[in-house]
Amino acid sequence: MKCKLSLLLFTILLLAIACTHNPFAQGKLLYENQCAGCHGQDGEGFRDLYPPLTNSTNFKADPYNTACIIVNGLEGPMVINDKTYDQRMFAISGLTDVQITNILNYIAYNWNAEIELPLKNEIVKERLLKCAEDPKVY
Amino acid sequence: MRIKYLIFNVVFLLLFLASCQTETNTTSTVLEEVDGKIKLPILGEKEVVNGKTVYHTIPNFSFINQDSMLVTNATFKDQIYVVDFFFTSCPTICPKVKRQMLRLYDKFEKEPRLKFLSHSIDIKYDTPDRLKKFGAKLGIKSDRWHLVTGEEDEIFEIADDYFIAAHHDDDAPGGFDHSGRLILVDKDRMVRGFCEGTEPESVTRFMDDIQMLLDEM
Repeated sequence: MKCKLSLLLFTILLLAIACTHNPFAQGKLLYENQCAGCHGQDGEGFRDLYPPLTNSTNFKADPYNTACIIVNGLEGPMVINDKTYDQRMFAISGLTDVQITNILNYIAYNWNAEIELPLKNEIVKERLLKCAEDPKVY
Repeated sequence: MRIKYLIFNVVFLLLFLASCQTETNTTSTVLEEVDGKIKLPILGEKEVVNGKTVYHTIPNFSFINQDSMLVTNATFKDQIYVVDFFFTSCPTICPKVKRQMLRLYDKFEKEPRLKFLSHSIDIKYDTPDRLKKFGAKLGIKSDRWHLVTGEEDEIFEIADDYFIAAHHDDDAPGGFDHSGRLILVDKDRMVRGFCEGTEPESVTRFMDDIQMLLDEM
């Protein structure tokens, strides 16, 4: 009995440590499933094909714009950190505005330190409404 | 009571280990002994014609690479090569597979007898020009790693000969469904090994298979 109780306490302790270390756990999970394939597990990008999301001039300039890139995709050359990338990105469908907010916060918190956290769901919603009519890349 | 519990645990553990064993067998190659030498097996259905065993071989093919040059079986004469199927704007498994292909490309950098052949299955979008840009951004040399396009039917058909599934699927992200397997072909056009290109550990084992096939030459 004593043993079981201590095991339970230990598990709770481990969970607590794991949780405090990552305030955007949902964002991490979504990022790893939806984005990491191209942009890398640590946001490092891949060669000159897929741009990094770490210390990204574009992301820092307007993090909310990334919400529109996620839902609409992107085509054509783009300069990020002085390098030109030109790889077509397909629109990612099926994400809610809350999920997208979580992803943006994960990217901002981990790799783009200057951004004031947290990024707000209301603004993400507004942006998504604005760019909803823009053409999508499939 | 305690002994029973212990036995149960040991049996459970053994079962668990056994299940792991069969699991790994699906992604690593089972070796064969031929004339007293340990070799990679020849994969695929074999037939016996006039008393002789005929193995599955890769048929004639003709595709265009990123330099708009013809790539045929003759391109890989006296060489072995690793095959995969992809498309440049694939949002799902391809970037993972390309990372792993690049590991092989770097690992065997000084090996002139090993080449790479990536088939695009999106022939409309992936023109030789787009493939050239893709190759340049990936940082690869076209004489070692061919990125090819061609007739769609021929690409899907040859995928079948490499035991890879590739087809249109409007429900799949990007419009195509395909497997991320890497296939190893020997100098006699026979398939000698494969691995899961999305799994780094599988690719690490595959490196040993490649080395074994090189040693056989």
